Amino acid sequence: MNNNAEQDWKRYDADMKWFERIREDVVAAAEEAGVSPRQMLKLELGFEEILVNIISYAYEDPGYVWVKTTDGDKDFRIEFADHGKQFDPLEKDRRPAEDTPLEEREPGGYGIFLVKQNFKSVEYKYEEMFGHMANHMSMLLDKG
Amino acid sequence: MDKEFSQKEYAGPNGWTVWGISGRIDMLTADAAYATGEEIILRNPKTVLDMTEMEYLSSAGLRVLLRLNKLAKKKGGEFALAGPTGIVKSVLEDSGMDALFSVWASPNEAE
Repeated sequence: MNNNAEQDWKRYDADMKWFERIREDVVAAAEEAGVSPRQMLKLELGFEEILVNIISYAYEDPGYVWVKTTDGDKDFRIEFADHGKQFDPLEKDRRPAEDTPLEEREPGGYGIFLVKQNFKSVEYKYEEMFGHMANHMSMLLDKG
Repeated sequence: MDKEFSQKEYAGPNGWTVWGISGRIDMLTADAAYATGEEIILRNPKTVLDMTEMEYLSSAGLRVLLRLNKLAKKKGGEFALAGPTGIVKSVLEDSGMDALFSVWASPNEAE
C-alpha cells in the first residue's frame, strides 16, 4: 500500500483557527495509542512548532495542511504535509549563536531545535503527495 | 480541553514583583501572557516569573520570555525566572535560554 495514500491523512485548512481542532485530534490519537503524559508534552512541542510554521509561512494564498498519526508498538509517528513553498526546517541550526548578546537575539530559531531534541527521529522530504510537490515532515516519538 | 492558563501577581522579597503563571504558554496563550508581563514590568521592571505551576512552554513561550527580558533591561530592571520543572525546565535548558536569565528554585529566593 502506498504509504502516502490520501485516505490515511486528515486534511485541514492551513489557518490558525484550525490549530486547536488539529491539536485535539492529534492528542486524542496519541492518548488512544497510549503515549505517556510526559511524552505527550514532547509531542505537543513538536506538533506546535511544525504546524505553526506551516500555517504562518508555507502559503501566500490559502492552502491545506495534511496530518497523519501512526500507532507503532513502542512509538508514535506524526507526519505533516503541505503544498506550500519548499522549506526544509532541518537544513541548519537557526538558533542564535551562544555568544550573541541578549540585545541582538532574535526570538526565532529555537522551535525546530526543540523538535530535534525531543523526538527519536525527525525527517524531511520534498516529494510528490496528493498530486503536487509537498513538504513532508515525519517525526517519531517514544510512547513511554 | 486542557487549555488552562491563569495568572497571579503579588509583592515578593527585596522589591521584586512576583508574577505566577499556571498552565501553558503556547501559541494560543502567548499574546495574553506577553500583554500581562509587559504591563507588570512597566509598573516594576524588577519582576520574577513564578513557573512552579507552569506545565508547558513552547518556543512561542520562549519568545515571550525573551521579549520581556529585553523590556525589563531597557527599563533598568531585570526579568528573572523561578521554579521551572519538568518539560518547562528542559525547554529552557535545551534552548540555552536559561543562561540569559537569573533562574531561582523559588520566587522567595529573589535577591
